[in-house]
Amino acid sequence: MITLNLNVNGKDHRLEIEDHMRLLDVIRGPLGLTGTKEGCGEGECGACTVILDGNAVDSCLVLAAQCEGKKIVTIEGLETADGLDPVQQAFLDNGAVQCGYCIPGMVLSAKALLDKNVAPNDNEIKEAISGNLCRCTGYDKMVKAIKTASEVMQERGEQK
Amino acid sequence: MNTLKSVGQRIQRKDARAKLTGTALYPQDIEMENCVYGATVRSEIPHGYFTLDLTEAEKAPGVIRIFTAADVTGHNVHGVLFKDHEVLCARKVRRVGDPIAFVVAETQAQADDACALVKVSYEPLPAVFDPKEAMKEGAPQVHDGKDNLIYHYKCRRGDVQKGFADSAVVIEREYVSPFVDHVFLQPESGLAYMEEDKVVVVASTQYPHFDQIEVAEAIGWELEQVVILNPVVGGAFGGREDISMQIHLALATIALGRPVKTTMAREESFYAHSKRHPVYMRLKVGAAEDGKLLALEAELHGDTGAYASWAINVMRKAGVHITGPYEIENVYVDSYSVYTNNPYAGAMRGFGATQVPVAYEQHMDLLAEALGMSPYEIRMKNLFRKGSVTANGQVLTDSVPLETCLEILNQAMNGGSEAAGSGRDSSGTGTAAATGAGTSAVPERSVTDNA
Amino acid sequence: MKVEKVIKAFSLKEALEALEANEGRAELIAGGTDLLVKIREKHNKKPVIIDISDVPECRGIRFEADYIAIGACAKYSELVASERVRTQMPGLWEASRSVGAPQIRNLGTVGGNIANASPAADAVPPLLAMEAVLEIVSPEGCRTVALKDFFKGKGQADLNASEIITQIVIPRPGSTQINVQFEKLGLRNALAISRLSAAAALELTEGGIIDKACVASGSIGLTGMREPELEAFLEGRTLDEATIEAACDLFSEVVAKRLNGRGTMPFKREAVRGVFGAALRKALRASV
Repeated sequence: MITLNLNVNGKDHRLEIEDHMRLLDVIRGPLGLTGTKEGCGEGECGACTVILDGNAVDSCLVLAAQCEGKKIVTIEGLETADGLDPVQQAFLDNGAVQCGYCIPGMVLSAKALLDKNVAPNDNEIKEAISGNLCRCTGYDKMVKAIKTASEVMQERGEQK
Repeated sequence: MNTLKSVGQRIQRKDARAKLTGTALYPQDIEMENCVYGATVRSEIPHGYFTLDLTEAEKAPGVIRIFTAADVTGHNVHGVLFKDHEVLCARKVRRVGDPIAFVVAETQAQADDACALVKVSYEPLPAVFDPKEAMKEGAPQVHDGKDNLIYHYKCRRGDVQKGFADSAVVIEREYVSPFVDHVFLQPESGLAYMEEDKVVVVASTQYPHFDQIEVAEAIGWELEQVVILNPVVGGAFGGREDISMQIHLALATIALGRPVKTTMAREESFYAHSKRHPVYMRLKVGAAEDGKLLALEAELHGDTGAYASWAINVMRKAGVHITGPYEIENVYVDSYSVYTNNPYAGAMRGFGATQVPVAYEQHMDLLAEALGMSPYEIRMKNLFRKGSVTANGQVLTDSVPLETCLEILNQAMNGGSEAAGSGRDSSGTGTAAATGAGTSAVPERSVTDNA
Repeated sequence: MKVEKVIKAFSLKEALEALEANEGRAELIAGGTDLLVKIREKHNKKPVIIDISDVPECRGIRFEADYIAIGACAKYSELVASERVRTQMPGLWEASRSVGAPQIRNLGTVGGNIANASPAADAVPPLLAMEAVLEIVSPEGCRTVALKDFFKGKGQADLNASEIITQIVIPRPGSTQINVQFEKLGLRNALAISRLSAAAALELTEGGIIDKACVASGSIGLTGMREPELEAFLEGRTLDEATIEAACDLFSEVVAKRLNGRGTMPFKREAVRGVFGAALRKALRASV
């Protein structure tokens, strides 16, 4: 057993976990955050994507113990009292959600991109989500949604 | 003015918000108190008899009970058309991945570990993996006492021999389209629990009503005592039309009186559910000098693997659609569904209409080439219009917009040139056409870009 | 094998001590992109895992007067984000960019790829072409080994259980720009293991003649490797289309011989022309 200190969605947690647990297992199990999904367990599909210290990673490829002291953002951490994150809103408005299983991972990959590069071009957007497989949508509306979110974020940035 | 609330409006999909905030619940996201967990032992050989030794597995940490065919309280069968699946195989397996036992333990990890301790002794039988071979005399019988050939669709119209005789060119080729998996992103998962005198099964499915019937018959209960709850479905595309774990879960929760949950890893998902039917196609088409199609003869073999699932409907559809969206007076089609010891095939988007364009569209291009026509011209010469009669006698009275689509595409891609892509003009990009749930070739530019 | 214990090291000393304390029972993890898959498949060999992903002595990318040092635990995403890596070692930059997908690059490390000795490891061909040297630390001290001597066979490296790769050092006297180029063929644009890759580092005279050539391949053998036949062919020749064509022909022959009898040979002997040609044409463009 290990005592693990993690900051998840802005909140500090101190957990007793089994050594073999992946970050994905800790998120979905003891933390009860089931928004992060397991699609393949091998880092091939991206459904388990979370943001770890600002970078999108596959949580099925990370041992929880490696995350001592780190900051994690899951899909549940995006919505605030002020409403949905621009990426979430843009996906909603652009019809980019179908079965929804890829969505948490996809949204977080998009968010990780926009937080670093608020005005990505098409290729940068496609590269940012190249590790997130979607079997339903064909990706087109997702790329459009990310562009929309980018515009909204730039506007907000200018208004500050 | 009557403003419609939804039709013609941009509306937000009503479950999108929950999916976007991570609150939408797929079965794997649901936890219940006092829950136990199941794991399925599956066949590792494609065809053979087997016996089980459960002694070591039963003693494994956390194991509560191991269910086998003997524990099925109703009929040990299920299937969307033919009841040819066994809930748990009794003495014979017909494909790699056939469910043999359902191990229930206190934790998922314990169930998975115990699964590996179940000893399966196989007596392999000769197996068959090709549908044409499976139709031959003396081929291994996949289902005891049943012919491997389970369906034969015929279409007969006019006189194909005369049609070929009158043709300027006749082209015959063989085509194959392979097994395809749906790979819906959400691996299968489900729970079952008792609610007073009813058994409740929660699993992502395309057929809650079918599931209810199948569960009731397999456990031997009245329909009203079975409740099927369909939570969020993480993609399906036809792959959740067959029973997966619903009956296993129902049996276990009834026997144990505790909620039972099971979730498949991706690998197991690949083994467990259906595939798109591979189709082996022999296609022979004759055309006149001016490109008019005069005769079509086709032989289609669909490999439905170890279980029928939707084999009949799929190969019927393939047999109907093999003419493509083209008018042909003389047609002779035989389409077969055949058991083999391959993974079983069932519904997958397109459902027989998706495989055959591989053949007929290639053929149209080959005919065009042989006749010195463009791919566009030969299609415009033959495609369905309002009033066309299909090979199996359907009169198309409404909504036949293919001609308009091709004209618009040709305008956008080739500037309206009819000769583009023919021997007479080396420029131009390709086009293709299909009916049913088919797809067309993707052009470099989208017509709507300029709209 | 079930993972029983995970120890997170915050310094090289801690990591070495943990290895010693768990002698014979421990292995290292950095990015985990290979190891977690092995664990899932139950092919991992040790019950104790020591995490070195945050060991400072293994991190960072340093540009010094006569060499560039890449921390063994530098992530691929860090190489991609580095403008200096992009301009000074373009082939390594491209190889890093081609790894997996963003989520994989945000975890995976160059050192981990090397330690696994995978024949398909993307960074290996450009590092071989740049004659990289590994710094390896153990309780006994520090040793160096040329990358080209490091691979013993498929999945086998000259690394024993008490050792940690700390740095990958690329020599470049006088801070010169290295004309190292890379091309990879995968089954798709992302999330693709390399089917075949090639790297070339060329030094040219004023007149465009190849003074020195280092060529390396990936996935055309049990390990990433140098290609001495191609190097001997290129040296002394003018870098132009004719030379490139002829070099591709030669490489095709080399591959045909090496993979003789293997199912992939007919494909790879053709594919190597395209891949190697692309790498050399990049070198030609960069030299202008």
